[in-house]
Amino acid sequence: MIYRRLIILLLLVLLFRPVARAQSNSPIVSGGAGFISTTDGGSTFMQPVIAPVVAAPLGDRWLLETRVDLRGLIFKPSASNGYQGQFFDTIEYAQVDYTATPWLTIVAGRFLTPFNMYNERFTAIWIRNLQDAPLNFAIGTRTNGYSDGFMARGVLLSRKNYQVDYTTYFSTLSTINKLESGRSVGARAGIFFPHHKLEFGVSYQKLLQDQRTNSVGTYLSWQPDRVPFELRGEYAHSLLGQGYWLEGAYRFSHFRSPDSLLGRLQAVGRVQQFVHGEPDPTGALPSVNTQRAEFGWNYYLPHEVRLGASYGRQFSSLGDRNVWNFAVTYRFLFPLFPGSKDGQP
Amino acid sequence: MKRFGFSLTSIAVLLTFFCLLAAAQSPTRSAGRESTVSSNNATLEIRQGERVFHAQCGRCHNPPEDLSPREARAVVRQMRVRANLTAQDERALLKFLAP
Repeated sequence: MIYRRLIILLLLVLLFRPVARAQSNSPIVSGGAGFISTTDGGSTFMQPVIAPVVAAPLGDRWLLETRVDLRGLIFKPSASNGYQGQFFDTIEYAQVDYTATPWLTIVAGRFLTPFNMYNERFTAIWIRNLQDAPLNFAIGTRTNGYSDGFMARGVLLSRKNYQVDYTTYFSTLSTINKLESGRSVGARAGIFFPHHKLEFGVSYQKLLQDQRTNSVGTYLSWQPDRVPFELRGEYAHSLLGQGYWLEGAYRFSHFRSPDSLLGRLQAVGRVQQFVHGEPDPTGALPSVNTQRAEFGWNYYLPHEVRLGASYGRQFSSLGDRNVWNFAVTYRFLFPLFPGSKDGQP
Repeated sequence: MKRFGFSLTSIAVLLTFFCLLAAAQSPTRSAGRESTVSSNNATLEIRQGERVFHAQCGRCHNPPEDLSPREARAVVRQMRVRANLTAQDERALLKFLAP
């Protein structure tokens, strides 16, 4: 009897060893949660946000990934009324990635429109230095920033001193609830110099519906090696207008370690300008020429919590106004299924 | 019945033998110079991964706190697509985040 139990135990160990190994490719849940309070021209609204990301690798070449934005909007319709609330849920991306070759990854599904760099890299609330999106964000992203279709991307050239990457995509028109997108094609190419941490790129998009507008853009990102400073900016142009933003951020870790009281502090500044063109039917772009200057502080607490506060002054012919933002964000990451933390058998 | 019992014993011994054999063939048996060389290579790969992290990932965000090997694999796979990393960068990053 004891032999039979021993054999069963050994067989179980042998059978489940590959499964335990496969857990090393186990899916994760990551993302950000936060609470943002904004006072724009005297009216205040608050947004509790949670944006989970699920990433599930399947073998060595496939990856399923999705991000959902669940957001409340708490606002006062007028001074005499009390606060009211609304809830918004958005599928930001739900895509299948297939790494076909070292220089080609094919993406299918709903993805973030790869125009310039802000939409793909800085829309997560725990990443962006300032909570407000740039004034020219709607150019090239067709207002909502999402596309349904196919994308091909990868690294075209990788040398010791530079790296060239590309992205091309096609998006179809979709009016399905929660999966809305426009019909368009586009491409982006960038060159990155790793030794100087300098990146430069260009973007193009052709809208294949309505006004069939062309959008072009360019972006820049630079992080000098010797100081904890980052500089990034974008320029975008279309029939609806053109605009740029330039943002600089300095982390005080230069004086002490990043984990010191002072080293956790970051100062951020951004200037932006928008020149309007044809009227924007969606209303996502400013309807008049607008300039804005912003300054803010971020404080990186332990356990991935960050506090942020910023002040901006907006100038336009509709009237100058102040924009205040206060935010607390939390970045989380954990395995989707419970198990040993390192996934080892 | 006795024959069945004998057969079970044989299978148990054989399985134990194969398990021991498999364990003996694991890379941990390498010693001396070989282990020193592989240790140096691993250190170099980790340093390379650190450079990749600061150059590629650090453009957008800070390093994550307390990332387990299990989580690191999925994160790096996702970032390969999002940040247009090369296969070499992906391997180096994994060594850095989950040594």
